[in-house]
Amino acid sequence: MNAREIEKKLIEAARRIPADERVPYRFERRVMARIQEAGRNEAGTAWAVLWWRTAVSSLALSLLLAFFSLATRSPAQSSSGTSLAEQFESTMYAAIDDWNGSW
Amino acid sequence: MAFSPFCRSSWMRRESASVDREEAELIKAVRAGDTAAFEPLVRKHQARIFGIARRYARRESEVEDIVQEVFLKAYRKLHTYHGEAPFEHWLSRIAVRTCYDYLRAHQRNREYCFAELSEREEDWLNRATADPGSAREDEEAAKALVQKLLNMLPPQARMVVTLLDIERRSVKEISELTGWSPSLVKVRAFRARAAMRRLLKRISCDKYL
Repeated sequence: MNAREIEKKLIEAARRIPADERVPYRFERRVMARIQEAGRNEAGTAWAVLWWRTAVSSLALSLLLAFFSLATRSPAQSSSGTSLAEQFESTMYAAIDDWNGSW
Repeated sequence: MAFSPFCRSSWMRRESASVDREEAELIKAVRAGDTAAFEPLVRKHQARIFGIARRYARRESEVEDIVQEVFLKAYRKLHTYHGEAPFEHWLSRIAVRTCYDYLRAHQRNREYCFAELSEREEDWLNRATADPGSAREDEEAAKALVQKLLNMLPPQARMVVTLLDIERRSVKEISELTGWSPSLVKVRAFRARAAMRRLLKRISCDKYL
């Protein structure tokens, strides 16, 4: 069998097949609905990713601060009760303390 | 009034330029956030994309999925289209690559069974084997047979045979469509033709042994 010759014949036959360009009724509407749906999903996913990143970075920051406050706490400070965390707390609440004192 | 060739070509150029301008405006609107402006682009190009997809997928549901995927990708990647080539070419490139991805994803489903040749296909093959010159009749059998052969080829081979031999595109065009280098296209074409001949020989062996 001459495979090359038969291959040639088959390819010639395939060339004579016209491209089938039929389009289902209102296909463009389906595509547009899919695009809009994908857009909504993407917006939801983007928000979820943003929230997740914020949560992770907040957790990392709080862990870092906790570690830092523990690491910088000297024995003298711990005995006198003026650790970094306590200093931070007293600074944060200073305004309220003053306000309480003015009553 | 008959158009002179010069008039007709200049009229066609003007027509094509206005179409391009309209298309460019639609693309600009989509980029600016007007999703609805994409619909006329889909309507204009969908027939061609269906034509491409039907060369690679058989089931109508798969064809529709491919075309939908092509337009979804085009919408998402529209910011990468800079207008150097016509929009249709850019879209065809996405279509060909999506079809290739589809072929790769479905390559396990390829048929390896030659026993499914119909009587007419076997008949065509018998006549072609005995006398290649007489195989012109029964075009339908030849078309069905070539479709079966293409289904049996690996994705790269099928892609290159379809683009190079059936659609008669140049190596440069195929290289642009697929993203393969021209030398890779040539190598893959050579291997694809060899694979096709091997398959034909296997069919004849299965039949006569």
